[in-house]
Amino acid sequence: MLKRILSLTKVLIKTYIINAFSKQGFGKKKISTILLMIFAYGYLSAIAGIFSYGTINTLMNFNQQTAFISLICLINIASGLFNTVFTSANILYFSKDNEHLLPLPFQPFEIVAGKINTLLAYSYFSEMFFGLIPLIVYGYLTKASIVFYVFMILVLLIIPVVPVVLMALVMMVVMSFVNLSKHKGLFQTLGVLMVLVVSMYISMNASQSSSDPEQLLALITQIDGLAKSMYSFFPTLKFASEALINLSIVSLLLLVLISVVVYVVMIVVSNRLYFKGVLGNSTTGSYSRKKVDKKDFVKVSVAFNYVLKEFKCLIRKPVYFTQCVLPSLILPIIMTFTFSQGVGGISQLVADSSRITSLDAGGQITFSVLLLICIFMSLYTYVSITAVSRDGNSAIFMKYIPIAFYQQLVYKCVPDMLLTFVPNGMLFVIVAILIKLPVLPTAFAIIIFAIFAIGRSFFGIIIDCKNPKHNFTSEYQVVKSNFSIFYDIVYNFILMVPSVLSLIFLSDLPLMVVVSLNLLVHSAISYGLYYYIRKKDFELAQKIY
Amino acid sequence: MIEIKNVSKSYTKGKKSVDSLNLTINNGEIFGFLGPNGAGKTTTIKMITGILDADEGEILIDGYDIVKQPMEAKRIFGFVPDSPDIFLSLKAIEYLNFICDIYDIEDRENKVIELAKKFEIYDVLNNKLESFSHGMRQKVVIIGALLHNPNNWILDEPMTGLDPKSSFDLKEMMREHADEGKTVFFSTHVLEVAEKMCDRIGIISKGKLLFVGTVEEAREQFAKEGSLEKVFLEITENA
Repeated sequence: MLKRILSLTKVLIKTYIINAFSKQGFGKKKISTILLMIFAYGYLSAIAGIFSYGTINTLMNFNQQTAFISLICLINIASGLFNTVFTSANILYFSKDNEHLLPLPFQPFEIVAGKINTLLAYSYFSEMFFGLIPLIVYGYLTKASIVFYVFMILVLLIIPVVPVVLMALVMMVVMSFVNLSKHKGLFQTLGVLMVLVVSMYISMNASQSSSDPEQLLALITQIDGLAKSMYSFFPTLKFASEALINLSIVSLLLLVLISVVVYVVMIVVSNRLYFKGVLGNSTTGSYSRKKVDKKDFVKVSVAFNYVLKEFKCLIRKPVYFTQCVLPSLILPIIMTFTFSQGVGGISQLVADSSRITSLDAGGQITFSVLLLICIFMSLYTYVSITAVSRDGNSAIFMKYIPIAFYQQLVYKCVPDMLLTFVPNGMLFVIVAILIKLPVLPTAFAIIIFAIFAIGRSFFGIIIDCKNPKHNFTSEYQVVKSNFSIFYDIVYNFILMVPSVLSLIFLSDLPLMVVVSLNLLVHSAISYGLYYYIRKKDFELAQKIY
Repeated sequence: MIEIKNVSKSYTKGKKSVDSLNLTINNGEIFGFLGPNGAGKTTTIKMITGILDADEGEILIDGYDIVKQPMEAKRIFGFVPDSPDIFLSLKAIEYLNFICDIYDIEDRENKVIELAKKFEIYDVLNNKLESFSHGMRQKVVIIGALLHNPNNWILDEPMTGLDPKSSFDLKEMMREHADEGKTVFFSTHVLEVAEKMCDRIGIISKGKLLFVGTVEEAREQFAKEGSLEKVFLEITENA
């Protein structure tokens, strides 16, 4: 049994993680891609290290450095929790490899254990930045003994088990019911949303109790208080923190014990629930006998039907919707919630914002800040960057139909252009309710953002064409194991530079000058990318076959 | 008419998947393209349809160069790929109506209904393709390829997954199409189908075209008393 679980885990990790990255590359430029990956990881590690160094030093001045341990344990548990909401549904249920695994003589718990281990591997990946580096810096600054480093490795290995397994368990319970529905796709998406709401509710409850002004007067106690308030939900957080702070062997053993118990419970429950959900997912059921009628044959323009097809393929497939669209939709809610939890809460934020907008008579600052927020909010829409890859085997369709390749790329970009407006629209509505935004700077910010969104979509599809992942073994890889997403994030950050520069250097200039300069930059980039697609569509099509 | 002139393709340096292929499929002809797995059949078909670019040579469809005049060439063929797993999130009717918009098909309702009834999937057109079996998906893709009544049919393993009646109907349609003076080019592993249906066959192995001609000519040349299966084995094993 153990041998089979380990063997399956090895294959799944190789499929989901190792192969996904090793196949990356732009032909002869593969070495440069590897260098870029090293740079990216080095950069993130450096940020984590610098942040940790500064924070620990500050905390040491107050002799509160142990609060840093609680913070790191909290971050890693929270990260495991939120990542698993999306990934557990996709890996356990919506993955293409289920069709190959189900006929094999595996017990349900063996498949689940193999997949949970894969989810844990993902968590270890993010722990490298959020756990390992900060704790090494902590050990260095506090002159910790070798025992601390041994405990650190053990804690980092064990700490993601409970959040990952708990989320997977919740997902199994939800999925065993939603697949009973006739509209499986819709209910699967709603199921993921439901689990997401539950996980957010737990976090909100935890942090609300810690935001009592009497309890939390300073940031340091806030961190510690937040961590302690989570103890009731995640006892492992307490034992992990204590194991590292006091180098307590008892706490470490309790951490191991709880994690093992939760893992065993998962195995027992999965034996009852997993096949129920996943079999419901793969069976076709009876066909609808609803006859086609005249409206099914309505002639529309190719462009309209192409864009509509893109929307349908994106939204009807839960694995794509939950990965490419949903994160951007929940971002405004998370942001609003996060700001409302800051010092002084939402009323303080409203007061500060109103004061800034009233002082900013010309509207330049408001314009630049709004544009910055809009660009940031579009970070989580992965529609264009995966537009070709998502098609899988169908991608070759683009090559043999009589529509110019560049035109098809433009059509494929439209959903991304439109969907980036949804989170911004939601945030604008929330902000407009709270603060009286000046009309002109807001309108200009929206217009410039629209031009940015067009360019961003073109950039995304260029990258996806150059490095498509349409020969995937699981749809899950299209986003989660796709290094191209990194280029998309870099693009957003680079394009934030004009707004940041406007904010720092141009706030004395008239609004129209600031808007014109931003308009010039974003229009030139967006048109340049369109021109590239138009002129180089033959080259862009080369890797799709 | 499909003309393939001195076409070569390599995926890796120094190893040609298709090597200096010369072939003409005439109007009014059903041409069967045979070969073992990995022989270069699908690569050839992908080059004919513009999915892959040839390293050398040119491919003309009714005189249009697939590289230089791709839009004109793509309008006059219908293609069935080796995998029917296309846009599985769409309903069958949505996929077919999308095809109608792409090819600007008039009288689409009658054409779709006629073909859907012929392939016995009319009642389930309102269902998503992902709920269909392999064979039903294959039927939808075949209907999509035939809707605009193209001069040239290019079919990669079209019989795979089809039930006996649909397979029979498709073969009948292929014959009718060729008899109207149009072209049918298809790949297959089923030698009996090739033997019974094809006006000419081509046998490819390791990227090289080893034989082109009628089944009778193949028998005369390679194994006078044997079946096409024996001929095929003799040609490909000696390659």
